[in-house]
Amino acid sequence: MTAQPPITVRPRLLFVDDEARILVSLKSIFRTDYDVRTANSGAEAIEILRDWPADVLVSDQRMPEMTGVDVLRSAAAIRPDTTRILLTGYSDLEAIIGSVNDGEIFRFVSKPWRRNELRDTVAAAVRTTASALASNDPEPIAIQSPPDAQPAGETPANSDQPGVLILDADAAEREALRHVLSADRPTYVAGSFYDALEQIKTHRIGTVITESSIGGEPVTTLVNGLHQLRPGLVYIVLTGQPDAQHIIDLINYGQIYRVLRKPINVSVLRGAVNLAARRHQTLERRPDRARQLTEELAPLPPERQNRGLFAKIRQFLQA
Amino acid sequence: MFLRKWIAVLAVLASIALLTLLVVKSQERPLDARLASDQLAQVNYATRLTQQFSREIARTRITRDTSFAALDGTAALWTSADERLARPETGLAAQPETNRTLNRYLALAAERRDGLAEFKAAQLHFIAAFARLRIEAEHILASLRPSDADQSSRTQVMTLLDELASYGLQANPNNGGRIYSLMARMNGRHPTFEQAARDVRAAKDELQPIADALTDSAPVEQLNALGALVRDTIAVQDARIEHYTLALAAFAGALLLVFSLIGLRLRGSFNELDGINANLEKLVEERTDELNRTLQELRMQQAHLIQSEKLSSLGQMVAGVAHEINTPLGYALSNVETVKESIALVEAAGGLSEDAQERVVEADVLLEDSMHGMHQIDELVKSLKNFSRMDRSTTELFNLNDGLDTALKICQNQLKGRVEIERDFAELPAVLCAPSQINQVFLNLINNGAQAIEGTGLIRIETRHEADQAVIRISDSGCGMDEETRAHIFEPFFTTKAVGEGTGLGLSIVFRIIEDHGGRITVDSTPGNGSEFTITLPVRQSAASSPVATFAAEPEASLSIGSATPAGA
Repeated sequence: MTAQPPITVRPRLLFVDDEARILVSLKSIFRTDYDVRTANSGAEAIEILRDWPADVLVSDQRMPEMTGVDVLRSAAAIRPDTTRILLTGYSDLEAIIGSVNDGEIFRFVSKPWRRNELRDTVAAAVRTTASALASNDPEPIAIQSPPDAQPAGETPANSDQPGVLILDADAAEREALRHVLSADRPTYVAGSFYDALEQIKTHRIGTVITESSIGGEPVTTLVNGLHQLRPGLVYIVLTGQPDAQHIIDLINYGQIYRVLRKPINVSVLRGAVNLAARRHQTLERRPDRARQLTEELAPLPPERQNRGLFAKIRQFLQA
Repeated sequence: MFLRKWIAVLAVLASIALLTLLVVKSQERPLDARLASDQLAQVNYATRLTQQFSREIARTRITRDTSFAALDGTAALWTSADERLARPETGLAAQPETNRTLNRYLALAAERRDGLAEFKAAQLHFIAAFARLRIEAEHILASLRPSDADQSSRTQVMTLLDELASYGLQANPNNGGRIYSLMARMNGRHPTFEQAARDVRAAKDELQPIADALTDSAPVEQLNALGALVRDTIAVQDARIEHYTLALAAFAGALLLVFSLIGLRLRGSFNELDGINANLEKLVEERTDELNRTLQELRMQQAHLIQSEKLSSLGQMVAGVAHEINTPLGYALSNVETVKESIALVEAAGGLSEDAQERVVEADVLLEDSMHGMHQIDELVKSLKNFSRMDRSTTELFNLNDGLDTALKICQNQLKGRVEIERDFAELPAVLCAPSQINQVFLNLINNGAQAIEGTGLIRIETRHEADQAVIRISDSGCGMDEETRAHIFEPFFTTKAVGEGTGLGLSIVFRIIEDHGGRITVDSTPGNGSEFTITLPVRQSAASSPVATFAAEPEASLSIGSATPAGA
């Protein structure tokens, strides 16, 4: 990286939308503080990205030819360090799940956006990219890794490895998941939030596999709280009846790594867990980056902050 | 079946034929009996005349009647009786045995009557001989003196006369001997007298066999035999008729028995049929009830399907429309904010004329209003999305107050300026429920309340947390309802709206949704004074979500999971 005076280096933003007026509007917000470029289509955005390392990519979802998820996936392949944001007026479930698993997005922003909120989000994204760039150890981006990337059973379960915690209210399901995963690494199970906290406290855990809701209560608050107290944990969410809003919340407040829909394909699950483990390793090596990511989580709205649970988490983990 | 029918018909015909035959056979008797008794009467008549003929012969001999009038009359009667007997109409010639006996009798009778002339001649001869004897006797008696010797002669003559008279009438074993001894004692003293006596005796001996031949019992015996034969015939006939009568009685009895059996079976069949009919009716009733229930159920389900289909398409439409609205709204709102900021910068820079300053202030206010309007649009779209809950989970912990607010926003246009809303919300714990359904309930009740209000009015919505229950009261100042309406308000297809205005499903669906959530809904109403619906929902309840299989059913997947899989596979 060539040394340039910090003042002149303005963070680069790339906006993609098929509606030109959106681009005009976004540019008007950010052009004073950022180096802004816009693209009218996904293909155009990818072209720009090849020559122009954007810090942040903000894409619409519903576009002709190339959807937002497609753009994000390609962008992640070309510029893994570029932080990706989806900005859409359409909360289509498939798009949301795709944006997590394929696009590994930083934030999901709904249209119409609040100008100041969007500014904050973009600023946070820029900081995240900066911390990633500052690291010489780029995190693995293994989008759509083949299922047999790490064949089952090859890696013997050893206690040195960070373990996997399975949080699921259904005992049978919990055990089935443990049965599938315990061959690769230590696997722990929990049926409730408090069980989960107990396990996290007593065992070395790198990946948390959780139901999207436990007993009707979304895990958003728990994940958000755990982020604060155990930076570097990687979250895989399982869901039987996916709820678009829950997943958006889990992205924005919990920075989840994967969303898997039931019924789960075992090899996909294994692949996701292996990737999560590698990501955890990276974050473990770079605690500053892990902390950075935690700091850049969207702040939970006051009504979402389950004070009791939050206090409990804190008390539990700090005891 | 066809064969059985024909067999039955044949059996009936055979029975009728047999019955007719038996009746005819048993009814033959009167005719035959008349004939037979006629025959018997004729035979008896002939018998009487035969006997009378014999008696007349005897009487003629005693009375020494020389006219023979009675005897001839009797013979004539006898002849005509025999002629009648011999006529074919009597029917006695019809049978060989009777015919033989009859002919034998007729021959004997004719023989007797033929012998009558000989008898008459012999009788006359005897009478003449006896007359001569009496004249001779009177001659002797006249010549005798009243002396002793003569007295014995007189006695001898008188005795011989008496003996001969007796002999002439009825010869007995002593008559003949005594006559000969008396004649010997006369010793030829009176030769003419003696000759006369011999003549009498000879005439008598000549007459006697003739009379005997005419009066013997042979014809009567034949007649008796004939009578016996006729009586035998009657007896045989009687026996036959008796037989037929008996058979008829037996057959009638059998028929009666058969009819009784058939009757019994028929009764049984009818009873059975009645039973079956009653059963059938019951069954039909049951089936009809069942069908009605199923129909009702199906109609409900159909209505529910339509309802959820409506909601689903509403959701899809809302989601699509939301995107279309959100995109322009996105830049419009953002731009207004940007412009507002720019204006603030311009204003801060100063150096504006008074007019320009005024304009800037005005523009700021206008932009603020624009922002307000756009936020409202945003809220409305969010409410629509929330209400339709497209891509949202079916069950979750839900804030009922939020649901009520969403519903209120959705039916804003129904209420605006007409119906005042009074919200009295208590803090409620999140309730595990199906938010889309609960939202529908709220919208339905608020809509109903608004429709019950003519002109202006008030809808009061109150939420309370009581014990383990969330209580929602929605009351309106509308027209209220009578007891009849209140009693049926939650029934499917019950509606107070005009045909075509409402399906009558709204409140029944509300009722079902609340019941499915383990809650209760009641209604309180006074006509003219509005209605109040009260919903109670348990705060804690088991999730009603349908379980989703944890793993995809893939051979690869099933190899690695499940305890049934051999280890190390």
